[in-house]
Formats: sequence, structure tokens, C-alpha cells
Amino acid sequence: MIKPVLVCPFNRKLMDKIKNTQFIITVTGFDDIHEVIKSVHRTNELLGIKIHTEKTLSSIDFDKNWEKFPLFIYAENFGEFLELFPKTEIIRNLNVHFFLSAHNEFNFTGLKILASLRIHCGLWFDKLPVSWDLMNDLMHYAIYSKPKHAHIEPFKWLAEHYAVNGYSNYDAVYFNDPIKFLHINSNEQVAFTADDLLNNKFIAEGAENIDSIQNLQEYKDLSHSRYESMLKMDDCSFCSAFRICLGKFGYLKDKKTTCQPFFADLHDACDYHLSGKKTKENILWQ
Amino acid sequence: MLMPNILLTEKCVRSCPYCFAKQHMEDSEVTGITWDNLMYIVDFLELSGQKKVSLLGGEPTLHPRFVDFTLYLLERSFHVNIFTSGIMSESRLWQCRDFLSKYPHERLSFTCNLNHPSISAPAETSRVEAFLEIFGPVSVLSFNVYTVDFDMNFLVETIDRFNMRRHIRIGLAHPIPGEINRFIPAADLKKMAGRLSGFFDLLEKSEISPGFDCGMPMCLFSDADIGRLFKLNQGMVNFGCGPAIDIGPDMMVWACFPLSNVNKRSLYEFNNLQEIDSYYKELHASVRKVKGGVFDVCDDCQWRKKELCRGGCIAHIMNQVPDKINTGIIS
Amino acid sequence: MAVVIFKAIEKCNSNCIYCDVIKKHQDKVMDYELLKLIFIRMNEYLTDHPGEEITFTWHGGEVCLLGAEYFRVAYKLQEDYCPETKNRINHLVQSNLTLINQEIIDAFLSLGIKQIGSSFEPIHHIRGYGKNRDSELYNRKFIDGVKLLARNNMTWGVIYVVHRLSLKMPLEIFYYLTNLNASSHPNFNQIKMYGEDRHNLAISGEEFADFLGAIFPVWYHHRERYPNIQPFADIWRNTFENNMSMMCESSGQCTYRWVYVGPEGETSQCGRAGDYGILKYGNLKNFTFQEIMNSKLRKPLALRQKYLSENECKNCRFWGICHGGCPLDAFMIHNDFMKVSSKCDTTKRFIEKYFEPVTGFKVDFPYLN
Repeated sequence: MIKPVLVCPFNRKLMDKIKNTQFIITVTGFDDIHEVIKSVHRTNELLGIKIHTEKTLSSIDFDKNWEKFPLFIYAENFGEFLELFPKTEIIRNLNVHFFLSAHNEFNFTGLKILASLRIHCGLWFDKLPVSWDLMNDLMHYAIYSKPKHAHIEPFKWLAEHYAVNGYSNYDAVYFNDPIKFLHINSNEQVAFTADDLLNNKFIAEGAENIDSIQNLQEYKDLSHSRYESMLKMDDCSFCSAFRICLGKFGYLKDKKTTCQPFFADLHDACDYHLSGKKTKENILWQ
Repeated sequence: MLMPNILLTEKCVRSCPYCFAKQHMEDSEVTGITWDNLMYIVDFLELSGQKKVSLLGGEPTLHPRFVDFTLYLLERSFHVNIFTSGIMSESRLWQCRDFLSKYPHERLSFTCNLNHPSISAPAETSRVEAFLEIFGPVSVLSFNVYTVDFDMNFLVETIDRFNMRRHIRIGLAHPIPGEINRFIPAADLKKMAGRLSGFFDLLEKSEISPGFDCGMPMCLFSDADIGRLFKLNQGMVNFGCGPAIDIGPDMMVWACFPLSNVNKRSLYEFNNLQEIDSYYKELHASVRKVKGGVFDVCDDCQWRKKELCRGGCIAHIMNQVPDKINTGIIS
Repeated sequence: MAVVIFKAIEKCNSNCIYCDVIKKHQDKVMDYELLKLIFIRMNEYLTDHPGEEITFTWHGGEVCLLGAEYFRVAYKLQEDYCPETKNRINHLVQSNLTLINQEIIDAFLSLGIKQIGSSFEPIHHIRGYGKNRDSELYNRKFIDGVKLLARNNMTWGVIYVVHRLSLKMPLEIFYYLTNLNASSHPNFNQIKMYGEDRHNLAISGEEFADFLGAIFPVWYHHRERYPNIQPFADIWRNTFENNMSMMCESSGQCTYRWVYVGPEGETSQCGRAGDYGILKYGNLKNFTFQEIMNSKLRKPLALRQKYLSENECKNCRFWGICHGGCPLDAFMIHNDFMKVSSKCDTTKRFIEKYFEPVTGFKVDFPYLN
């Protein structure tokens, strides 16, 4: 069994206490980046730094010294293209993935701009309303568009990891797949997801107990969590696209005009990607 | 295939008497292209293998995202040529200066359409001059001929003054089929050509090449004049008329601006630029079967048959014999 | 290959509304002596037929009511009495999974059982415990059973019995079942109700065809996503891949291949015959497997194929995927084996109204001499 990656806030004491572990460190400020890189214990491996910023993406001051370190920057808004443009050369030399909120409509355009300029990017979701038409448009661009462009998550992940006769959980893109990631706070309380951590749904306490989490029955049953939806017989369990969504938008009241048609289209897109279809006919590529 | 044109906006800062775009712009509901549509077009062109594009309008610099779009195209490795009057607000000009002035002519160029000072307001002229101060060296002048008594001296003076590219793009104002606009009627084209050839000495002395936009019949010029044109243009003289492919902000396409209300199609109907080009070429070929060119002699002209000359602008033909052309062609 | 539908127990912990087995109120459980004889008989049969195999399907009632020890005994009996032939006995299990536990699974695994056939119903109060068919608790137990199978790397699949209440939601049921198990997809069967239909659940062959037809276009356009939905997959393989194999009631080949064995050693043609009490071939205490498989009482079934092909099914282009349907179903409806079953109506309607228009292919499999 592969050891889960720990997602934790920047805390030197905690990082020193845990050994032989892979980390994703979350910070709120860009000033912390260098400190994080310096602080990782030699037995540990820093897989990336996740930064959630209040700034617009275009207003971020990118430092060429961040070099090839994987940075996952979550921003609310794209900002202004003219502000971002002078920085594109620096950005391309960094190993950075941008995530923009799905709540802001211009971000969908912003993601296409980024991807078409070969900058990896993606959407992130909170529970605020989303334009499903724009989502569908972006998804079509991400998967069907023929000109080369950078990844747009979570579509790229889904297309690449799609289990045609199984279940696909794109939470891994956001380090929220509990089979692969565990979340720990400064008090050494551990949870399966970021939300669980925020809501005090801990599964273990104490850094010394992290290694034994994989032996817990709750951990072993994680891969069956979808059955709860099936037992509830909620809208999600009857949805044609449940296997690639797994009820992530189950909180929506009206699913018929929102997530269901979108994920049905996304499901088709995943099949398309899997088949690697290239037709000889002059079918409109758009 | 000619370079495609993307209309960023249908708004303009001028109201030129010859403007065959006037009708189109007045009818238009769309004010400017969106980011998403632009990106779609760019992908479309890239897949078509076309990495050169012109931006026009109306006045393209009026679009609030003009500089953004231009930079975006440059970042996508396109060569961008911008058709402009040069008339823009101060803030727009500084923005262009700050972001676009570093690009060499091989990446970014301007085609600045100049009217004779006698029909330009002083405020307009000063705006143009401000523009040319900065972008003159990467700009080519464009001049539209719509009367036979035109003057070109001011063009040469402008090129010299602002150190511009030593070339003038000469366009003929063409009729809009089914509409009334100012253009040079077929009967006066020879006179126009005579007037133009009167400027060859000046152009030669100034080392300025006079290039023709499409729709100029070869027979307007004597063999001697054709020879001079050949030399003035380093061997490249254009007497063609072919689809120029305009793409509107609403994603409609048409063959060229005079034909902007003829057989407009949606860009989404085509898989690539070649399909659009073929579509309009076929359409125009069927028109030229009815009447070969602007003049009656074009039908039997050997040079037209050898495609050295296309027989002038197809808009002229449609204007001359609208009843004879299948109404399905003009929609 | 001989297929044994083995019902050591016909008692069940559930009260499924359409079940014919529980209506028999049969409380008996096969004792170990008789169980031993079953293995002896199988060994005899396989020894006399070196190339043959037996598919031994543990059925019920609910087999888990037998308990883990029963299966451990079965394993020992097989080891003792089928030492040379045990590798040609393939055990399968049909269970509702609500009583399964780790001990039973360990016993299954020792018998080489790695997958379980089951059944599930998303509509409440069709399958469940007690008089009111408590499906909430039943489903929870089912899911517990499924999780346990997953922990043991075992797979499972379901049969879905289509009834009147299913008709209003074919796609919802389809999606639910394929969401429930993404890797092993459902087998849709028409409900069989003979005699009193107190709950008005019976449906006609055409209604069943319409249910299938509502799902078929989705399946057809996403065949990779849903690889083995029955009956679509079989019909598809027959028509496009020329792979002529169908499930039992459509195959026309059940005559000398199937046998039902009940808790007291009684035998019949198949599970359905055992449930309805028809075509009884005698008791294994008195007859060998060979004698049971070759029973003269099977003759009407053997004649049925030729008879139908010359009469009611003459020149029928659907013959190859229907074969007149289940002879027992025909007997229960018409009191005559030499008639077609309700499958005829289903097949014709499904193929003509749905399969052919959607696929663009014309089915043409008349009887060939």
C-alpha cells in the first residue's frame, strides 16, 4: 500500500517531527515559499506548495527563483491580461499550476487564455453558484480542442485517469482524494479531506499515529464511500454520470439543468478521449 | 491564400466617403469581438496552417481589448498586421506604445489608411501624426482611390516625414452590390490609371513601391506602365481578385469587404480556412462564368484566362449584371 | 458442459415479491449424507466423461443460510470423493449477500468461488425483510455484503427482474445498477408470474421489450462503458460478431445440459422446473447423473426445436436469437412445450422497434438444417 501524502500548513515543528513522508505544504503568502523549501527535512519530500491567495492572478509577483518547484496557486480571479502578459516568460520557466474559482465567469475565459499560452491551469470549486454552460464550453475546449494547449483541470485528470468500467475521483487534483492524501493541522489532528479538517472530523490525532491510519477500517472503506449515495438513493445515485462525479455536486437542489447534463457531456468526452477517435470525415472540429 | 482579416469591432472613428464598410457597420448589432471568439478564430487559423493575420474594423484600436488581443496573437506566434486610421485616444496610443512598440516589423506591422488632408479634420490629422511618430517605421500607408483627381504627393511627404516603410498600398473603392456608394465607375478606371501612372516618377525618385490591393484590371495600364510597376515593386505586381476572407466579431465570414452582405456564412460551418477559400472561389468562379470581368473584353482576354489578371473586382461585375447572376449567389 | 442448479436449501431470509421459491415453503436442508452422494454422483459422471465439466451453481432460497460450516464440509467432500475430477467442477454462487460474512467467504474461496451472482432492486418494498419487505435494512445489509466481497477481491453481478413498477423508470434503473457496480453489469430478466398476480406486477413480452428499448440506445452508443448488459450483449455478439451463443432460455440448447437438484435429492430440468414442479427426472438417490441427464422425459424438449422450426417459428428471422424461448415458460402459459414462450413477443418487438432502427442492421437468423 502506498503511503498517503500529507497536506499540512507550513509548520516547522510539525515538518521536523514527521519523517519519510511526502508533503504538500499550504501557505497563504508568497513570501513563505523560500522558507518552506528550506525547511523540509532531508528524509521528507516536498511534492508541492499550495497557495491560496486573495490577489488576482495577474497581480502576483512571480519570482524566477521559485524555479522548478511545483507551485499550485489558487486565486479567485484572473485579473487583467495586460498585467499578466509581461510575466508570461517568467511563468513559463516556473513549475506552476494556476487554479481559478469556478464562481467567477471571466475565469473560464482566463483559463482558456492560460491554456492556449501553454500554462497549466484549472478550475477550483467551492459551493458558490457556477455557470454550467461556461463549464461545458471550457470542458469541450479542454478535451476536444485540437490545437495544442496546456492542461485544464480537472478535465485533463479525468480524461487521463478515466476508468471506463470503474469510478474516477478527480479530487486527487485538489489533494482531496483520501486514498492518496491526508490532511493534518498544526495541532497534529488528521482528517481525510480539507473540509473534514475544517469541520473537525478527525480520524487520528498525533503525528506518531499517521502511519497506522491505513490500518483503520474507515480508511479501508474509503474506496466504497460511494455506496452511501447508493443507499440514500439520492438524485446522484440515478445519474448517468455518477461514476465520474461521485456526487460532488449532490448539494445542488436542481441537478437536471446543472451538473447532470454537464457531467453527462463530460462522460462522453472521457469516452472520446479514451477512444482516441480521429475520423476521416470532414466533421466540424468545433 | 490571402491573409485572413479579423474584424475586432465594427465601430469606426471616421466616416469616409468611399467606405464600402459603411453599410455593414451601420447594420451591425455587434460592437466588438469577445475573448472567446478571438481564441476560437486563432485556433482555427493555427489548425489551418495560417500564422499571419490582419486586424481591422471599423477601427480596430477602438476595441477595449485591442492591445490585449494583439499581444495574445503575438504570443501565439502570429504575425499581426493592423489596419488602422491611426486615429486613437491618447491613452490608447500610450498603451500601444508601452506594449507594442518593441516589436519589429517582422512580427507586428501597421497599415495606416490615410485620407487627403483636405477631407481630414485637423484634430484627426494630429492624432494620426502622433501615431506615426511612434509606429511610422513599422507602418505602411494605405490609400483608397475613389475619385479620378486624387493626389499622392502628401503620401510621399508622410512617408518621408515619419520614416515609414517605403510602400503604399493602393486600394480602389469598389461598389457594394445592391447598394449606393462612392466608387470609380468602370468607365473612369482608365482615367484613374492614367492619373496614377503620372505619379510613377515621384514614386521612383522616392523609392516607394505602389502595391495594389485586389481588383485592379491589368489592361488599365500600358505595357510600359506595367514594366514600371514591375520595377517599382521588385517584380511583384498584383492584378488579382480573390477571397480575402473577413471574419466578423459575430463569427460570420465573407469573401471581402465589398461583398460583406453577399453569402455570409458562419465560421462554424467550416473546418479550416482552406474550405472557406474554396467555397468562395467556387462561388466567384460561377459569377465570372456569367461575366468574366469589369470590361466586356475580359470574357475573351488571354491574360485573364492565364490568370495574370482576374478582370477587376468581382463586386463591379455583380453590380453591372445583377439580373443575370443567379439570385442564389447573392443572398 | 452440464449445469447443475443446486438448491441445498430453499428457505430464504428475504421476502421478494416475485419469488417462486419461497412460495414452496420448503424448510428442508440437504443433509451431509445426501451432499456426499451429490459429489459421488458428479465424480461418476465426470469420470465417465473425461472431457466434460460441471458448473455447480449454489442456489436457493438463500445459500448463506447454510452457514460456513456447510461449505467447509462441501469442500472436504469434494476433496475426498472427487480427487481426480474436482478440477472440472466449477462452483458458482447465487446469493442476496445480506447474510454473507468472512467465514462464508473463506469457505467460498476454498471452493474456488471468486464471484457471486446476486440481485438488486432500487424500488422499495419489492425485495426486503418481513411482511412489508423492509428494503432499507435489506439494502444496507446488501451493501455491507458487497463491501466485504471487495475487501476479499471478489466480484459480483446482478440480475434485475423487470416488473410493472420498473416500467416507468427504465433508464433510472439502468443508471442506478451500473453506478452500483461499474465493472459487472446487470442482466435484465422479465418477471415470471403464473397464476395469481396479487400485486399487479406481471408485464407482457411487449412491455418488457419497451423497457429494454428505452435503455438500448444508451447502451448501444456507449458499449465500452457498459460492456456486458444482457440481453443486449448477447444479441450484439450474435448479430455482429457471429458468435452464436445465448443465455439459456434463448439458446435452444438446454435439453441435455441442465439439471435442478433440490434439498431432498429430487431433480428437474432446471431451476425454473424445480420451482414450478414440472419435468421431474427422479431422485439422485436412485439415479446417476448420466441417467438424469439422459432421461427420456427430456424428449419433448429435444423435439421442440425441430417442431417449432417447422411450425410456429418456420422461416422466422429471429430464430437464432430466440429459439422459441424457454420451454418451461411456454408450458406454464400454454400447458404445452411445443408452443413459443412470451419471449417471442419480446424478441420481435425489441428487434423491430429498437435494435434494428438504432443499429441500422437487419437481423436474419432463420432456422438452418
